[in-house]
Amino acid sequence: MIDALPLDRFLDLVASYGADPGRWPADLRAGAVSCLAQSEAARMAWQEAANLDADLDTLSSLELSPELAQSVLAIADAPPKQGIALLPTVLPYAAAAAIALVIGLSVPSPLRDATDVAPQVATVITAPVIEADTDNSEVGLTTLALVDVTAFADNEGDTSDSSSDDISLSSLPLL
Amino acid sequence: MAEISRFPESRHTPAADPGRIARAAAGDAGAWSALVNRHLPAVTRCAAYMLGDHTEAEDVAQDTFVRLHRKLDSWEGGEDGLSSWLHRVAVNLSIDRKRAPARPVSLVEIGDVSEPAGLDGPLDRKRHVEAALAGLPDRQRAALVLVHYQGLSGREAASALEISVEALESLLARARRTLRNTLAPVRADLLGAHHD
Repeated sequence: MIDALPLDRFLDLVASYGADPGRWPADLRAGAVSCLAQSEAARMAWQEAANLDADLDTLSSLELSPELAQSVLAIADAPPKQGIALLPTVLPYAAAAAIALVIGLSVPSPLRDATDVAPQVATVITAPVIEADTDNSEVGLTTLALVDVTAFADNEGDTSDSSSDDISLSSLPLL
Repeated sequence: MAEISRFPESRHTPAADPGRIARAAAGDAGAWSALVNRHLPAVTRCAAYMLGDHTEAEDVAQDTFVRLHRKLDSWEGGEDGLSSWLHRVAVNLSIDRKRAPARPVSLVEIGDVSEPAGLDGPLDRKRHVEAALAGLPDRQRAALVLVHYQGLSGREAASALEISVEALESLLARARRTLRNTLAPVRADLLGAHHD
């Protein structure tokens, strides 16, 4: 003989899990069914819950798209993308850090001996590099120009020889 | 709102296999395929009920499995607990997506704005249920989706939501009370329309 669940507990059960005994906790199911068989109040609460279940069950149909299954299966084939995915985020900061480092090295420190100032430094500018065969629409900040100022150093003290022709540009594509 | 979908039960759903996760982690394509076949429909359906949008649900399902694939190497144990873990991720991603700023909605998505608002049978009933479900607080909706639509036991659903069974039952009771109060008048109107 199975003990019927107390009515209060049955009402709580139906209020939470609805009318389908399959959703009721397995260890309470038999006692709840017994309560339902014995109590008119239990049957009224059960019927109310069944009405709501029927409303909820109107949402149905449509199938899983084959494209979704294919794309999820392909996850295992895809190479790790974390590094590539981080590039757009990290790149501006890395470039800024590199620029700051190079500029910092190129500026003579007042604490250094004036004769110790290394003349062979490179200054990095972020201006777009315009090449003769480059369409203007493609000019952007995705290229860094390294300005080699060795020529200035070689002609230190003789600024009259330092013309723009002495500046060699080398571009470093970033993307 | 797109129609919420219920996927038919697959006749070829693979049974649980204790070593399958380890084999998938080792690069066994067959093991990964079996995991996907076993769990993808439920994960997608869960997201669809959470979001009320089939396309967004598929995005969430894909994100969920990307996270699963990353976790395979460190997964402890067999497939016990995998369903709860997948549901937890799908629910959380769905809630995050629902809270994100709304994207612009086109008139095409809105549909026929001149459609009469009156009740006209099962289609209206379904729309009211979708709207009532969408209006629930996130945690209440999640509890209801996991237990009513996904068929998780109280213990499994509580595990997925990382709460006690008692807290889950409280969420369920509040959700069902709200839905009953919202939908009972609709049902009465529909019954009245049938009798007219």
